[in-house]
Order: sequence, then C-alpha cells, then structure tokens
Amino acid sequence: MILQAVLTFHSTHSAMAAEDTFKQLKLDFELIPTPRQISAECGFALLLRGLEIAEISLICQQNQIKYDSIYKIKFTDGGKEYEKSD
Amino acid sequence: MKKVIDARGLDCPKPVLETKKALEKGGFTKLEITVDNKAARDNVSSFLEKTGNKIDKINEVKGEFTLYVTPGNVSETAPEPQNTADVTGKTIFIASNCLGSGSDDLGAKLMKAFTFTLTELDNLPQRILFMNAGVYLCLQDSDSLPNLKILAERGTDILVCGTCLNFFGVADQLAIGKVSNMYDIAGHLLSDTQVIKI
Repeated sequence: MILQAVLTFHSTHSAMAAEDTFKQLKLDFELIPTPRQISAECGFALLLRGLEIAEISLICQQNQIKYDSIYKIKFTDGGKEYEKSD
Repeated sequence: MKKVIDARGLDCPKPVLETKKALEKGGFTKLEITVDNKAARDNVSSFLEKTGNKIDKINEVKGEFTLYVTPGNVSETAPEPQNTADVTGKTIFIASNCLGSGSDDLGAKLMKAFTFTLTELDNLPQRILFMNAGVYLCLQDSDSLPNLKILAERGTDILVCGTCLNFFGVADQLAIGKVSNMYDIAGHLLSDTQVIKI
C-alpha cells in the first residue's frame, strides 16, 4: 500500500492556497473533506500520496504553507486510522 | 420492407425521436438510419439496444454513420441492468461544475471534494447525469476524473449531455461516461427511484 498522509489546515483559505502550491509542485495529492475521524467540523484537507511525514513537513516549510497537522494513514481491516504526527 | 431515416443535420435528440417514432409505427423488417456525428450514432445505438432491437452493422463514410437495424419488440422503457450490490439506486443530477453558488472557486473545490467523498462512502449512486457546465467534470483535465472513474468501475452509470459537450466545444476531450441526450436524461430524471440535484 502506498504511503498516504492527510494534511489539515486552520482555514478553508489556507487549504485552497496549499492546494494551488501542491499543484504547481506537481505532487500526487487530492483535495478532500477533512476525514470525520480527524475533525467533525467541515473543512478541506489534502490527501498526499508517496511522501514521508518529514518530506511533507519540509515542503510546507519551504513553500510557506500554513498547516495545522499531519496525519499518517494506517490501513486496518476494512478501515483507516489517522495517526497524528508531532 | 425497408425503412430509411435520414437524420443528418438534425439536432440532438431528434435522431433518437425519429427512430423511436418509426419503430412505434412499424411496418418494416429492416431499418436504416443515417446520422452525421458520433454523438448521434451513440445515442441512437444506445436507444436501439435498450429497446431490444438488433444493430446488424454500422457503416461510416466521411464522418456520416449508417446504422443497419433489425427491429425487435419496441418498448418504452427497457429494464435497467442490475449493478453491484452496493449501488443505492439514487441518481445524482449535476448541472454545474461548481457545487452551490456564491464563489465559483470554492464551488469547484467543493465539487471535487464531493466526487471524492462519493468514492469513500459505502453506498454508490446508481447513476450520475451531467449537464451544462457539469460536463466539464468528465473531461480529460478534470480534477474529478479519477473519482468518476472509480465510481464507474464500481458500477455507477455516467451519462453526459452531448448537446452541452458540443456547445462548449469539448466533445473530443470527454474522458468518462456515455454521451447522452435530453431524451434519455429527462427519462432518467422521471423514472429513476430517487434523483438528487447538485
């Protein structure tokens, strides 16, 4: 299973801005609604494929992307778990 | 006896209507229908197959198509094929590339997130109908394309308005779904169990 992570934001605008940046960087990602397991509130998040947490963190830092948290997705029997990284 | 329909130059969905009228009237054993574009060919073919007619062959000459048909029993509505078990029977009608109004930028992103979420849910829509700027979601460069492909693979029927593709000049960029017409789309809006407009 390919490495997957979810990047969450403090605001919809930050998520949309980050999406534009990730698009320019031609990374494998998807704009998704923030998974219910992470937050019950409505919000956009980015689903990133094939990147380590440290790489994501570095890309965000280098491109001035303001984010809330990074979650590593763990695939379990018939579901997904989101593990928050420090 | 042979019946010939020249449906060249007719706008969608007239070729289908002419075909339907002729079949209802009957009185022939072979039918030939000539159309001048691929969308009309596909629409007429799909109608003929759904209503139990046999297309013996389709000839193409300089972008014009002639369908050679042996008529079967004409019925108004053909039974829908049953898809996989988790298809809900709900039909989603998408008539815009944006979800809601207020901000097109936000609307486009909400639409993309919506199509993604459909792939994550346990219940699949039976059918998604795309009309007006909604057809943009089915093009090669659409952000929603990967999501729609997943839904189609799992059994969701995707129909795209041919008139709309033609109006926006994007018919050659269609990457998912069947080109359809008002006749089929309106039929589904009325006959499908539950329709949700987005």
